[in-house]
Amino acid sequence: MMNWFRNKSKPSSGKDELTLKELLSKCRASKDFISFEQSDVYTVSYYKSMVDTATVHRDVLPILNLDPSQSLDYLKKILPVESVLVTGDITKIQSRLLNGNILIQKPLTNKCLLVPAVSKEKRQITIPENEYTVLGPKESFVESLETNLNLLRKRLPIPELYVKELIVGRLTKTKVVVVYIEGIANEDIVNTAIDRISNIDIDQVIDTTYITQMIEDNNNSVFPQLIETERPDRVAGVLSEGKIAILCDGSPSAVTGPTTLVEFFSAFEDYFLTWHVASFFRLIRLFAVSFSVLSTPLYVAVLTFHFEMIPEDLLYTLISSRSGIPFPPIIEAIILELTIELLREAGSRLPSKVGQTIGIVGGIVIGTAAVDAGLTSNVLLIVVALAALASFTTPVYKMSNTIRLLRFPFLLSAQLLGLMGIAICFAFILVHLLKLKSFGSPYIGPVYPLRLRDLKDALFRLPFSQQTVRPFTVLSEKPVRFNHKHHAEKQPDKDIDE
Amino acid sequence: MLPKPAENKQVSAYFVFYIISTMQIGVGILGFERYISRDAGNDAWISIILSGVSIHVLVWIIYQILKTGQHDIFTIHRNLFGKWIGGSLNFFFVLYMIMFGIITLRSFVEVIQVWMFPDMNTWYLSMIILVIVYLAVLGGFRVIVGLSLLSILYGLPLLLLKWFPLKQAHYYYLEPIMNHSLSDLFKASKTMTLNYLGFETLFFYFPFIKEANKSQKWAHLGVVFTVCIYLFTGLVSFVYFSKEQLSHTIWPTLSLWQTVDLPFIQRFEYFGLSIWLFVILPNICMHAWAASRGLKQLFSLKQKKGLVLVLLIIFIASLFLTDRQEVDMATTIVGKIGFYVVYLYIPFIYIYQLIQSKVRKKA
Amino acid sequence: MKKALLWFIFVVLLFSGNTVEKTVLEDVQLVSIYGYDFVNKNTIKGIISSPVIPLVENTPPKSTVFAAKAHTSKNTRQKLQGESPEPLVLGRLEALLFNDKLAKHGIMPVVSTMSQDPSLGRNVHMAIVDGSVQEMLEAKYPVTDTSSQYIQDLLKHNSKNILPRYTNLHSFVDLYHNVGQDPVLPLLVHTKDRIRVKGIALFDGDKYKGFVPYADCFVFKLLYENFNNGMYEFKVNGHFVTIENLASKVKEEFINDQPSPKMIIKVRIKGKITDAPGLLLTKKQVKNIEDHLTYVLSAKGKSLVGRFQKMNIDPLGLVVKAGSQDRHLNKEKWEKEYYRTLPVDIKVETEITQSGTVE
Repeated sequence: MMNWFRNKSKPSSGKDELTLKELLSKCRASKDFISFEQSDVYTVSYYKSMVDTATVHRDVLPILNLDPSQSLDYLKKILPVESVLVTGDITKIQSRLLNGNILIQKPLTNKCLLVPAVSKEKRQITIPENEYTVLGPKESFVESLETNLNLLRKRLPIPELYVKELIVGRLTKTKVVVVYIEGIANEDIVNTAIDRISNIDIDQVIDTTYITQMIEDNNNSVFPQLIETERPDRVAGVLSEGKIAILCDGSPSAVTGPTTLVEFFSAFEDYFLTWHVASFFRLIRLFAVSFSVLSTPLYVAVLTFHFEMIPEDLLYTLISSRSGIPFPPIIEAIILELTIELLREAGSRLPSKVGQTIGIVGGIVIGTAAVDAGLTSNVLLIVVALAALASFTTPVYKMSNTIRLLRFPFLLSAQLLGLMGIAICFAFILVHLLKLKSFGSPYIGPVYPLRLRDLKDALFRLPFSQQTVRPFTVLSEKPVRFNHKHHAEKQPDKDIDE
Repeated sequence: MLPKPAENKQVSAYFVFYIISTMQIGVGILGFERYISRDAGNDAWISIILSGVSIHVLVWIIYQILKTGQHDIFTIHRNLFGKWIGGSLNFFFVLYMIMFGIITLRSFVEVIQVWMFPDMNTWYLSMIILVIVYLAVLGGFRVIVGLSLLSILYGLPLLLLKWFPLKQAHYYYLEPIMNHSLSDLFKASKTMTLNYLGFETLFFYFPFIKEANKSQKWAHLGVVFTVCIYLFTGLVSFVYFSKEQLSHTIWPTLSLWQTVDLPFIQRFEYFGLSIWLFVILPNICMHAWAASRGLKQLFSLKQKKGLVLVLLIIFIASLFLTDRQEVDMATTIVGKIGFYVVYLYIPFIYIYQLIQSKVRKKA
Repeated sequence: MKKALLWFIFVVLLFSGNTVEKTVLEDVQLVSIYGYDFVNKNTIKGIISSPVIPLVENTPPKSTVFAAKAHTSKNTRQKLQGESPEPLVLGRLEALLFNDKLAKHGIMPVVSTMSQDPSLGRNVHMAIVDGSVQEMLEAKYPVTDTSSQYIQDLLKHNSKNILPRYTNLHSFVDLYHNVGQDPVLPLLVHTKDRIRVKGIALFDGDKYKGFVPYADCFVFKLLYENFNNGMYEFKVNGHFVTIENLASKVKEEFINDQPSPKMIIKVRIKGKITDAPGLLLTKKQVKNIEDHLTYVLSAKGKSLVGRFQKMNIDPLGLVVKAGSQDRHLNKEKWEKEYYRTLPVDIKVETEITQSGTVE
């Protein structure tokens, strides 16, 4: 049942064949379809909205006017445009026509000439907004697949960078590409990805996230199993680690995999900073995650069941902040957590300037008002606000959503069985994580199966000189990245002041 | 006879270390000091080592049996004793595993009822834990091994907490060394053996180890590790409690956790017990897994169905043990059975197997 | 579908089967001190001090005192529950106090019920009160907000200087059960608006027998355990000298020469002169002070041990320590028969480091 997307039969290519005439009459129903006769011989037709009119006027029409008697094959030779096609295949004609080709017909032949003249409407390359870094490159992907591939090839100018194209989506006919480095990426993983993508049966693919959701190993899991990124440098980085990337036309993000849980908590900026700082930040982030998930549940558990655990001095602070509040801790916590979620959701739906105001107004005004009105305790307000803040330190957007969602089952179980409830909830999640895979690789990565070697770039980020091998998760065909020993030998051990 | 598991279902040899030590550490470690100091007093730590040594011998024997048989105990039984006798022995081993599952689960629930939630129903926590076990075992052997590994990772930091009672320790409680007779020490060692039980699950998961014949050193290291943990735990209790008070303390480890006094947390036993869930989880999982695998072998029942059956039996049986006395009694009985299984039955199979292979060679 | 149904049943059971009682922090009456007063031979009075946290923030907490008479300690708790607005819980009990008259009749019945209660911690302070516990708890003290806070802080910091370091529930029960050693507890006394440490209460088993006066507590602690605090004042040639203890170590040595076994308590103390008015601290003079200190301490120690032997109590655990050095020693027999007449020698080694502040 889980894999119903994959198991359905492939889209049937043998749909009812149209004749060229029928096709054209269908097209004419649209206002932006143009068809006219040129030089009394050729019929030229195209979608005005898809075609770059400059190409039509500059390159195509003058050639047609030269010599009306020439065959289509001759025209193909002299047209100053690449990948011109002469064909009678109706499906090809249809797809090309719809992708911005000019159709040129000549009477008495059932073949026709297709001249690509696509008008490329695209956004400028901008700086990454969601994965902004202070250091490092500031390019981000745009909606055009070709531009995105260009950004990648610039960073990896090697012929081994393979790009496999697939078309997905009954209606959208989206181009999806699988990018990997031949000889480094594991072939099985590449094949798995290609298989899964080609097994997708869906009518529309709007974004890479569609693809992600359909090729993930377990799409009923709250945990994302593939990382989406808008940074070409990150994609280039993971490609050279031996992972694969999936891009799709019309989407400014790439999906990379296989991944492990800890990778979701490593920002790409970690690689731009010195290793001490980067390792410290990673540990901070891991702490932030656990704090974010566990702090409110712990508050509820301790206040509802285990007041003995609170040291005496803290106890009085807690009692005085709690006294006079009409709700039990769980209700108080849920109200506050939902308020925070509400603020976040409102802030992200509104235009950015309004959103900021909402954040500030909500945070300050509602928070203090709730405390003043005696609806919540100020201790909990601090805890919840910090927890919300901590959840935003997660660099991958999808994961930070997951973390915020996870808090609620923990809250409920804390209310049921206190600390034991939290442990039980954790056990459920742990069992789930142990079973989870990302493109067939174990999800909780270097911890289980335990790979001490991979821990160098998981909980910490040790210097590059230590990272001489590719992570085990990717099962790389060429595990060694570079030979650092060679470099190290050059510097003999020098004594002081030598 | 079940086929050998596929390679991607197997785990590397070094995981035997984690599995062995996790299986040996369960609810018993929370309260073993009292039983062994009853006989050996301040010398009980010697018994911990003594019985640890005997476990090494048994692990060695188990490896000899398994290396010769090259399969799990179910298949070895069948090969040695034929379909009917072997089958009934297998059935006994399935029951043996189920019994251990019941004891582990019920004593954990018992501890929780005494220390955390006196008014909690037995079925409530049992049900929740068994659902987790069900989900985990569905994931197969690899998931159980993962839980074992993580249980060690979570459990180890708890040892740091021994620092708090050590501040109040009386080291002269350990002296004079060796003031008990050898027979006392052996009596305590016998009691101690019950805590070390669990290593015999090796019989069941052996085929799931990659290059299983080479994993023996990891098994021994695992036992050494367990002995160290028991020794350390025991020593801390022996210097913190006088022998007389220890005899009044049912769960010394939990009492020791009560002494924790940090600026942000006190009374660590609530926390410790919650973490303890992760220590007993792989135990119950392994028992349920082994039992359901045995059922599959015996009755060619699908393991998924066998698992449900095993868990239901564990669940219902744990409801029949209503109070502390009954749990204690059941633990003693199962402990005795376990004692005879490891000390009599295991050497017996070893010798039987030796003789049979000699006879076959001649023939 | 079947799966979903099973999960649904599980979730329903999860919420409906939960019978665990919730003790929400503000819905319980915390007990911070539990005390017992003597009424008559069969009746005791249980007194509890419970913090009352005012609703207004940043106002100091107050404490309130409940008292009830009953025949057993459990029953006092039952009666006290009848007075309390919220259920009384012992989870955060900080100290356990006993009236000295009550303590004379033995406190173990009370202590053992307390120590069997898993909701109590191991670190609950214990002390004996010379006088009425109720009066001590009910009195107002200008030094702290609540009496319970006062008692806790007092016990905590004095356990570094003159009182035994651990006099909590665990150590009392442990020493009570331990054959060959008797427990000790701090002895507190209540004067108008102060609480004072009066000395160290001595026990025979669980029965209060007498106390070491405050002036001798330092010497007692020297013999009792290693520590590195505290001051001691003594006379040298008519001048008072105060030394500060920098580090003291105590070690018992048991020489089991039949027929006359012997116990030697070796004390090494490293001290610093903090005050010596009228004395010129030459090397010779310092040596003189050292000799005096040695003499004074061993004499005081001997008289303390002699007193313990006369009372037939063993707060220093000499029998336990003898037992730990001789594997054939029968502790029960020794405690009963030989302890009173065991010759105890005290050897003190002093080392006074010359310090900068006094010349």
